[in-house]
Amino acid sequence: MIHSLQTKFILSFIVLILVISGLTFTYTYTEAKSALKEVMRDELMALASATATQFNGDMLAALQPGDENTTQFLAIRNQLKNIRDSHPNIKYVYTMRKVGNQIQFIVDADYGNPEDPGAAIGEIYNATPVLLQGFDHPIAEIDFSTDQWGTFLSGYAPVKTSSGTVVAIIGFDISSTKVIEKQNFIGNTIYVILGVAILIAASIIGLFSLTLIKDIKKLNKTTKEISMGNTNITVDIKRKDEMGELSQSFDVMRQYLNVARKELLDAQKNLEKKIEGRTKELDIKIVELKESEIATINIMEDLDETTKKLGRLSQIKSAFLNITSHELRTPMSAIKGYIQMILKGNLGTISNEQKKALDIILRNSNQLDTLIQDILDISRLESGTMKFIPERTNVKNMLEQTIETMQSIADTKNIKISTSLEENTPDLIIDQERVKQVIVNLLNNAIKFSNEGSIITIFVRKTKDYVLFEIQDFGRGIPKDKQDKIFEIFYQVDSERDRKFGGVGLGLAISRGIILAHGGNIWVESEPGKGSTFRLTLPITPVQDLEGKFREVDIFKLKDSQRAMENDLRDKTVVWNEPFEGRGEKE
Amino acid sequence: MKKIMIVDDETDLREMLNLMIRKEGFEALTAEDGDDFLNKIDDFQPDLVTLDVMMPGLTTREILDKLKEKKTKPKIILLTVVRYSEEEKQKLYQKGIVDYVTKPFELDDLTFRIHKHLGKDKS
Repeated sequence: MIHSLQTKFILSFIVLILVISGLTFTYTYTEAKSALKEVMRDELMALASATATQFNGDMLAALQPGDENTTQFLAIRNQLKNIRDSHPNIKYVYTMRKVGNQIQFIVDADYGNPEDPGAAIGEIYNATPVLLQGFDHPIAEIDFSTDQWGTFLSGYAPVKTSSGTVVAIIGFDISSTKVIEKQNFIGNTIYVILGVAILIAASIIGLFSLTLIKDIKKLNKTTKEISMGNTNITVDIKRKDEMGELSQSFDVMRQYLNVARKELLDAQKNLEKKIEGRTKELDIKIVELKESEIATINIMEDLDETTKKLGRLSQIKSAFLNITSHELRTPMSAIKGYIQMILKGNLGTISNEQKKALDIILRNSNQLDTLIQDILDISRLESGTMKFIPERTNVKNMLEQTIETMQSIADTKNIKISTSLEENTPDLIIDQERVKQVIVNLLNNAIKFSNEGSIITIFVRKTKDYVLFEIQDFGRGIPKDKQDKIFEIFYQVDSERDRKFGGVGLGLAISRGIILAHGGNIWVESEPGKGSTFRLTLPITPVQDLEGKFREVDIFKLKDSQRAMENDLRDKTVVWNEPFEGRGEKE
Repeated sequence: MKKIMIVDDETDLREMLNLMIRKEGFEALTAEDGDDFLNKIDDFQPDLVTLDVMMPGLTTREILDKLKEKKTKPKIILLTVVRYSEEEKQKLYQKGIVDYVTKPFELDDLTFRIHKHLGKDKS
């Protein structure tokens, strides 16, 4: 900034000097030139009139052409020569007279000069108007005039006879070269004077501006120091001008600043003390927080561990149930297989009594098998390991297939099953086999508790988010206080009577588990003696991913004895993750 | 005569199946586990195998992998207790399994499936 200021100073100074000197020079030179010319004209006039009075007009008037060698002529010529030689500015001196309308030379100082021959007597000269006036009074040409001898500034004066008659003029010429020489000299002189003046002025101004810039720099440096925080620095400028005033004001400001800064520092120190106090409090809080965080992390780790354990437990449970299932079903397969073979007569003919007995064995085997299956289902639902296989299902097709499997049982009691399905019922993403199992179970119950020749109706319609299934019978119904309990495990409305119908009270619990796992619900409305309506909903948008795991179902809490059993199994089982993963080790 | 191998660790079930299959008019041979099955297969060269999925020793996966090294490529019906999703069924079919029955199976169901995969031709 300072540098730029300095440059600006110098530049504007140079421009100023150039303009001023240019103007000054032009003016002075023009003035000097005209003054010089005036001086020369005056000199010419003065010289002409002074010389004219010394001349004898009678002698001049007497000279005629051809008199060039006369003593009179020579005397006059020598006189003119002497005058000219004593005036170094004068180039030519001559005398002329009027002859008629012509102006003729009389004596020319240079007549007979071999280097620059002048005019002879009677030589005609083409006179200027000023020259003609020279016969009346001394006069000088206003400007240069040119003739065969060159360009000159000329002056004239009349030469009189002793009687006072004007008979001739005397003329003096100053060569223009001489004038220009003088003019140049004056120009150079002005140059030199101007140069010296400019130098002096420049030095003075330069000195001023340099000290000013120096002080500005100083002030700037101080300002910077102050801005860096050093408010104790003083401004070392001792001047009596505006700059001095500025620096004094600046110093006052600095002192104010110093005071303000001290106050600020004190305030800051106070604040720091306060902050320090608070920080200590905060530190304590942080330590406390960290401790609680560590505690939280510990809890999280515990939780993580527990989750892992639970995951492992779930796998163990799953494996346990699969093994149990296999172990229970394999002997059932052998039993039923042999019975069926014997009944078919594959192993020889059997009596009617034998056949009757085998039928009973087979029926009971089937009941046992169903019970095993139910118990396993309940266990799977309870442990969250029931495998669901969701698939897009057409509700109408599913219902038709279900009713078809139930038809023979319904026929035994001459019960009609009718369905009413709304047109706009959407397809559902459900485990079709499991939902069929629920409907079969509900239909089974309905048939069981309906009188012979009765009707069972199935209504299906779409609600906002669900598809609602209603299975209505006109059977014996369920008392109000027992309507909620029928979905509980091993619950039977009338133990004595229900045994007769078969089943141990697992069907509805399993149904409820399956429907809840699908994100739906199941409930009953019933009036004893008039019949029951079981309603179940299935969501149009399936819950959970479709990869088997639906909702966790809390049918009942995990029993301690079961946990002990699972711990027992842990080391002896291999988890079934894939369809053909074998058990590996057998007990 | 078509030949069927019965692979099951449960002796009673195995013998029941053995009897049933013979009565159906097939030639039958039993094996009590995966190793036994793999040892006997190339000598017997069965057309079909009923394979229990839960046996001691080799797992079903191991049995199927080792079966690749054998000359005989029988059709396999799995005897299982679990249900399979479509995806799982596809996996099974890729391994040479043609069908499965869920225990406890109806005898008629199994014979129906055996006949389905071997054809009615009993020669």
